[in-house]
Amino acid sequence: MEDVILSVENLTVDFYTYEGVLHVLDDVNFKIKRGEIFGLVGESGCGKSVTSRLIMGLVANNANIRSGRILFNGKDVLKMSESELNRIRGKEISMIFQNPIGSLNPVFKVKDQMINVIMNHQEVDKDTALDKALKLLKLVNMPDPERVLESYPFELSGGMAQRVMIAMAISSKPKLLIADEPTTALDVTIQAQILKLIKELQEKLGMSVLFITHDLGVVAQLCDRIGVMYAGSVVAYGSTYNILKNPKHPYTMGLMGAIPRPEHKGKPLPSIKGSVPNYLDPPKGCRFHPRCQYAMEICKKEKPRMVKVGENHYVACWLHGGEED
Amino acid sequence: MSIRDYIIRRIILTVFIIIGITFITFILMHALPVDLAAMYAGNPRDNPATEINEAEMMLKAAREKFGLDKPLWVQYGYYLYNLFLKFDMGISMRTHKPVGEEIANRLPATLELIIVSIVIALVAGVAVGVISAKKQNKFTDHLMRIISISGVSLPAFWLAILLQFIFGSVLGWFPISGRYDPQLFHQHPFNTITGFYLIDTLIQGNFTMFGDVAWHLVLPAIAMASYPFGAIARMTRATLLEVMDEQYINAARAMGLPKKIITKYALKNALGPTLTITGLNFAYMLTGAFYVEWIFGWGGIGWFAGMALLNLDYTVIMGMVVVVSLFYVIVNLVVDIIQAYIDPRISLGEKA
Repeated sequence: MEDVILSVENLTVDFYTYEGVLHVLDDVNFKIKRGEIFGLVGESGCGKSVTSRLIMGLVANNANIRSGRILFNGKDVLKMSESELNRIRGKEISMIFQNPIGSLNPVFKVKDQMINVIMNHQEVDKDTALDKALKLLKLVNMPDPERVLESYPFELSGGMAQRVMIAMAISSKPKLLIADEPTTALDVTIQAQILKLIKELQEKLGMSVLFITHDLGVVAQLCDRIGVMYAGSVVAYGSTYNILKNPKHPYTMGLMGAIPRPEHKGKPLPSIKGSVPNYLDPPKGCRFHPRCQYAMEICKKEKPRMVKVGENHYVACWLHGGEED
Repeated sequence: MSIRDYIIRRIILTVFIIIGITFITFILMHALPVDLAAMYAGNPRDNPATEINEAEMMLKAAREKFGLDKPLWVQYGYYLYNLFLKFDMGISMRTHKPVGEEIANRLPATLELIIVSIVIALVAGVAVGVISAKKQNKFTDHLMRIISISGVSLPAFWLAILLQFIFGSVLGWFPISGRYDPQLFHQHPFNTITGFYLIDTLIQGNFTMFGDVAWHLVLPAIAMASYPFGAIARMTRATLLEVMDEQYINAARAMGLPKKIITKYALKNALGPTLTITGLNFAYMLTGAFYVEWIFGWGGIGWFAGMALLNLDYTVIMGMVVVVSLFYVIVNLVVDIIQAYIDPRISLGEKA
């Protein structure tokens, strides 16, 4: 138990909107161990970013947490006050985002933003903070770090901006880094560099990483273990290799099947029929059943529990309704 | 483009703006079915003692004096020549004094009033905007909304009369007119140096009169500030809420930055539109001061311009048009420079 840094348990969250109540997260469960890279995979709108924001304690005004807890180092993040949260945000848990240039304040110089972050969690004066900022930029392999410090965010490329974000994120040696699609907006070569950097830093600082993405290729390269999310629930969970090599959940199988492969040349690309459900009125039972080719009667009525289907491989599916975890 | 080049280019543009604006005003003035010289010469019927012939001669002399007997394009050419090369705007038809001098004497009174008003509007407007945005859709926000929308909706002249009546006449807390108390002035006289009495009294160490001048400023300044205050408050709230949704604010919160820094991060980004409308309102107040100056007996150019309009004092009207457009241009230029200073993404003078 003590090797778990973050544990998300039975997290069910609704959002109030003008159209009605959106039942977004439905009993989300996963654990992240110390020093591992955990991938949360799923398509747009499946709730992975909402989950990551909840871990940071960034709860939107219209969110209603119906049940569940998020234990970070054994303490429930959802019960923390704003000042308690501010003590761990950026210090114990850091986050980087999909749009690195948009994540930096456009009207302040990089050095000012970095100094603010460093001085917020460390008892240092401005000069020391500036010195640290320079060292951090060197640590993230920033080309020409002195010039970058004097730049405004709009003068940086996407890759450089993401390096700045990473430098700020690791400034206080966090125990957990949440990376919310950090490479989606970058081009492929830069993407590879940033992934390599995250991996390097994770090993150097011994931190855990929660890597959120929809890119199965990235997951396969980077993550030790993954959780596959569909429509607000984790449907497959376990070691990356086992899940991707031998998918057991129909959704994971569909995703793997939809990857373009040379042997499919000339044939239409396989896809999963239908689309992500409307959260106003999500399907009862297993939320995947309207799109599932194996759907049975029970799938429409009851939500499947997580069951073990192999070594370090769990799925929530009635097809494998055997032994319980 | 350096800031110096940019300013020079804007000044050159200003010349064309003034040519355009004076041209339109000139045409309009001459399209009126009146004898513009009559104001200067006086109406013979007002003075029965004057012989008709003598009056006719005076009228003719006035027309010649102002070149009103010459073709329009020659008149306009002379006007521009005098304006740009001699900085001479002619003589007031009504007061028979140089227009430039008349305006220069009254401008400080108005400027003092509108500067104080815009400072009040900006400070109160931004504060109310920030509070409303922070308490979005809560009671405080609704209350602030009522206050700021009232500010925009109440006509300045009506508010001026209302304030004058309640706080001046009924409660007697504030003086109802003038820039200072003449009796008090008699005991503590000060010299007019800049024409800004707050500054004049201060540099002469006359704190009694400084207090009196400030006291006289309160009601007219509040009346003038009400519209820009409301507009600034609404604009600040709207842009701040927009900015609070931006990714960088989200990211800043995820970094655990305290509220103080988050507010600073958001406010600097939200200031642009607020500054723009502050600038526009500031320039607009120069002419908008008309009613308020009239009601509070202020004796600034708002009042003077009003008199010129009522009396068809054509040289003063032309002069006012030049001064007001110049003021607009200067204020906008200053706003643009401040904007570029606040937001490094704005580069002056470059085409986007």
